[in-house]
Amino acid sequence: MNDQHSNLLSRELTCKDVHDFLMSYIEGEVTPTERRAFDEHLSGCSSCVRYLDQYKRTVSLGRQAICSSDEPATTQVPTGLLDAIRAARKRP
Amino acid sequence: MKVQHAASATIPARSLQPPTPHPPMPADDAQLLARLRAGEDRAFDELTALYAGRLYATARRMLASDQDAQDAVQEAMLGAFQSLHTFQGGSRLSTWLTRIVINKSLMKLRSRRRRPERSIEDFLPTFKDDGHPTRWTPRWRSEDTENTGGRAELHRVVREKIEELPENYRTVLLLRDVQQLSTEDVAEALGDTPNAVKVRLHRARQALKTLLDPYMTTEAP
Repeated sequence: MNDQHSNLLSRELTCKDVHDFLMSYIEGEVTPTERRAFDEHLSGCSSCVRYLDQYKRTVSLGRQAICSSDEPATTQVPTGLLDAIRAARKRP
Repeated sequence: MKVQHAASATIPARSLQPPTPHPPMPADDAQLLARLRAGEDRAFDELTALYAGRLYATARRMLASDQDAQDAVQEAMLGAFQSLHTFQGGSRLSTWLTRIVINKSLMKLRSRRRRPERSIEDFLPTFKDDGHPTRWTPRWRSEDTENTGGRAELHRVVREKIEELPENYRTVLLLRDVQQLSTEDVAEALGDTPNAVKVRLHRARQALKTLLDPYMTTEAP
């Protein structure tokens, strides 16, 4: 966590703190003390546990949705695009 | 928050390379490249037919405009053809072309007038003075319930929701979470600080989650 969070541990973490610094927590950018404070909050807050799980699923879904074989990427080339590229290439 | 796009918004050449030693260029790529370099007209047509769809999808997601995406792909294909001599063969052709189309898309984002969009704040969780959320996190249905057809539909919804994100946030999410560029490379491409990119990525993910809530939430609390 960066400087703006330096006084985060001077009090008990709130749900807002957890939501705000979730990415740092997931990506291992928190100190061991901060991690313990997060874990302590999560052990007693099912809403934040759900949020954490859904946040991770969102990241994963975003990637899967775009990289999956069900994306109709190659079947939806606008008609005319291929011709336009060919024509542009032949222009002097 | 406004993105201050750099004067030459491009992703660094080191980006989009596999982090570990990659397999040799596929034989098909190598043959196609040789024919392109020999100036064979049909090879260019094949290159276009093979990759234009994927490149169009990438540009379309970044630009959220059919016409701008078509222009970006056209410019990318022509740019690639003109700089074939610079392609070292250290990555797949598709990776190299993707980098070019992303750069063309970033340039278009920088040059075009910003469109009216909803504020990211509309999609972020809100809290009471005591730090508790104004709305408890709803339950999402389990992934186990997704059959193949359901998963394809879910992916369609996710793509649609990504497109609803404000442009500044959508760009960061696509470059970081989908293209998997490093925070530093995205920051360099957008002319931002790594910390600003991190903040925007976190908000983009939160906003996407909020947009997915109605689709993912189970009926029963």
